Amino acid sequence: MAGIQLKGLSKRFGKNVAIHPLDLKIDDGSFMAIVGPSGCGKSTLLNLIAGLETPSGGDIIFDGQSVLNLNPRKRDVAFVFQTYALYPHKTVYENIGFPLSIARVEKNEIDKRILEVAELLGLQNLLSRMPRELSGGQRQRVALGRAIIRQPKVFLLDEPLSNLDAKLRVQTRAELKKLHERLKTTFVYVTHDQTEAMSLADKIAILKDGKLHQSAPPREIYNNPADTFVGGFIGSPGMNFIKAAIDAEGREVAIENMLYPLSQPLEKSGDIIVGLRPEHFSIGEHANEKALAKEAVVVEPLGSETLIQTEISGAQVVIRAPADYNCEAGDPIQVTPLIENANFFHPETGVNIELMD
Amino acid sequence: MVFYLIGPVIWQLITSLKPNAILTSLPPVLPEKVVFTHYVSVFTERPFARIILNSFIVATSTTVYCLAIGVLSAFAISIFDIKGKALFLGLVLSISMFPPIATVSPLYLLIRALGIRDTYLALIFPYATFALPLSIWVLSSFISEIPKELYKAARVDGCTPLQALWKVLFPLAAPGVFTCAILVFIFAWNEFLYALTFTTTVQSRTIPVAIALFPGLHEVPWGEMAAASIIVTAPLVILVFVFQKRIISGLTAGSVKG
Ligand SMILES: Nc1ncnc2c1ncn2[C@@H]1O[C@H](COP(=O)(O)OP(=O)(O)O)[C@@H](O)[C@H]1O
Ligand SMILES: [Mg+2]
Repeated sequence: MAGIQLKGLSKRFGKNVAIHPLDLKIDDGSFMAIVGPSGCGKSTLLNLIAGLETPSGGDIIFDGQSVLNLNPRKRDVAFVFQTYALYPHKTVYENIGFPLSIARVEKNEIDKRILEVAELLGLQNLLSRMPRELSGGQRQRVALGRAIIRQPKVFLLDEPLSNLDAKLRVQTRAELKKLHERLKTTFVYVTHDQTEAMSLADKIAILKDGKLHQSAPPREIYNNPADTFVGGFIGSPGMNFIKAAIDAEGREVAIENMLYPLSQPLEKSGDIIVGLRPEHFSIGEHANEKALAKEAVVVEPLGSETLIQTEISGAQVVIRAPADYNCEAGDPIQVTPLIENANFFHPETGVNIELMD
Repeated sequence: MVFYLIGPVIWQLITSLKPNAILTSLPPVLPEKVVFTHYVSVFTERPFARIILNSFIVATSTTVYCLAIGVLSAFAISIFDIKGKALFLGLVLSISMFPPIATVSPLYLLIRALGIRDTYLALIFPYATFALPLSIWVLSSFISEIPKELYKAARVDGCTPLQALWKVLFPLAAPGVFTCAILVFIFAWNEFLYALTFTTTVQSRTIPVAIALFPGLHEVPWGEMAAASIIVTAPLVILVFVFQKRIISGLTAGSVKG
C-alpha cells in the first residue's frame, strides 16, 4: 500500500504538451478517479505513475520516496488496460499467474494464489481457456485477476469498463467498489465517464488539455466546481450557465430583468456567470414575484424525473422537474432560479468566485 | 498458370529418372523403365553429400544470425520512440537495393585480406549483410502490429525489456519470424554469385555452384544435374510446407488482441 504524491509532474511528446506541471496527492488506500474528456492526458498520467513513460519534469513520490529512478517492475504497481492486454498466447491460468512466474514465486504458491483469485472473481471454470474464447466481461475479470494476484502497492486502471456494454458496466462498477473495500489498496482509476468517477471514487481529479482543474471529493466537486469546465463536465446533465450582472456592492444579482438578493455579498460587480444545477430551479405554472416567464422548448420524461429545456438570458438551460410534472413542448412555464444554491464564475476566465464571508 | 509454374519442375523430375540413352528425347514423357542411376551417381561419383552439408550450414547460420540481430533491431525500432526511425528504416532498405555484382570485387578483396576465403564465414557474412535489411523490415512490421499495451503489461507484470520481448512479443511475432526465416534460408540456399566467387573447393562450395560446375569438358550430364536439382529443391518445398502450418496457426493465435 502506498500514498502517491505528484509534484510539478509534466510530460511533453516533442512539442506537444500532454501534461502541464501538476501537483496531486493520492492518499494511501483511497480510490482516486481521474476524469476528463478523451485526449486530455489521463493515460499519459497513469503511464507516468507506472513508470512506462519518463516524465519531462517533476517528481513522483510513493510513501515519501521518489520512484523516478525505479523501472516499472520495481514500482510494484498493477495496471489494468482499457484493451485488457491479455497475453493472447497464454491461457487464463497462465495470464493470471504470469506476474508471479516472472517473480519466480514457487509453483505451489502460484497455484494456490491463482485459485484464490479465480474464486474471488468467479473464473474457476475458465482457467484453461484462451483469451479469444472469453466474452468481454470475462476478459475484463482476467485482467483484474492478473492485477490482484501480485498484491501490489497501487492499482492503476485505465478505463477498465469502457469496452463493456452498459448493463455489465454498472454491475462491474459495483464489483470494483467492493473489491476496493476488500483490498484497501490505493486505486487510481482513469475514466472519461463522470458518472463512473462520481459513483466509485473518494476523490476526483479533473483533467482537461493536460491541466488539472480540480481535485476534491465527489460531493465537493459537484457542489462547488472550481470553474465552468468542471461544472459542465460533472453532473448529468451538467451545470447550467446563465449570464447575469451583479450590482456595485455585490449584494444583488440580475438575471434578465429580475433581481435576486444574495445572502452573502460577492467580491465582484458587473458581468458574471451564474452556475445552477438542473435541480436548482423551481418550476410551476403560476407566477410568483421571483419567477421568469418561459416556454418549455424540449420535454424529456425519463421515468424517474422529467428534464425540461428552456432558455434564460440567451443560454440553453435544462431544468430537473418531478417525474409527474405535466408539461409539453411549447407550454408556458414559470421558472425560479434558487439563487442560494448558485455558484458564480468569472465571465472571462470561468473561474469560481468564492462567496465572501 | 499452375502448369506454367510446375511444368519445368516436372520436366526436370522426368529427366532425372530417364536412362542416359533417351535423355534428350522429346516430348518429355516418363520412360517405360524408370532409373535411379542419376540419383546414385550424384552421391557416388561426386562429393555431393559434402556440398549439401556446406549449403545447409551456410544457410542455417545465415538464418540464425539474421533472425537474432533482426529480432533485436526490429524490437528496438518498434517499441522505443527512437528519433529518425523512418530515416533509419529507409537507409536499411536502401542497403539491400545495392546490386550484388557491384559489391563482389570489394568484398572479394576484403575477404582475401581477412583470410577467410573458401570458408563458411566468407559466405555467411555477405549473405547476412544482404538479408538483414529485409529481415528487419519484415520483423518490425510484424512486431509493430502487436498492440503496445502487451509490452507495457509485460513490463508492469515484472518483465525486463528482454523478458518482455522473449516471453510476449516473440511468440506473437512467430508468423513473422517464420516468414523471415524461410525467406533468408531460401536466399542463402540459392545464392550463386558470391558462392562462385568466394569459394574454390568442395571445402565450402554450395549447391548452386556445384551443379553449375557439373558439366565436364566433353559432355553435359543433364540427368545428374536434374537429379541434383530435385534433391536440393525437395528440402525447400518440405520446409515451406512444414512451416506453412505453423505460420497459419501462429497467425490465428496472434490475431486475437487482448
Ligand atoms: N506516445 C505518444 N507520442 C506522442 N503523443 C502522445 C503519445 N501518447 C499520448 N500522446 C498525446 O498526448 C495527449 C494525451 O493522450 P492520452 O494520455 O492518451 O489521453 P487520454 O488517455 O486522456 O485520452 C494526446 O494529445 C495524445 O495525442
Ligand atoms: Mg486513454
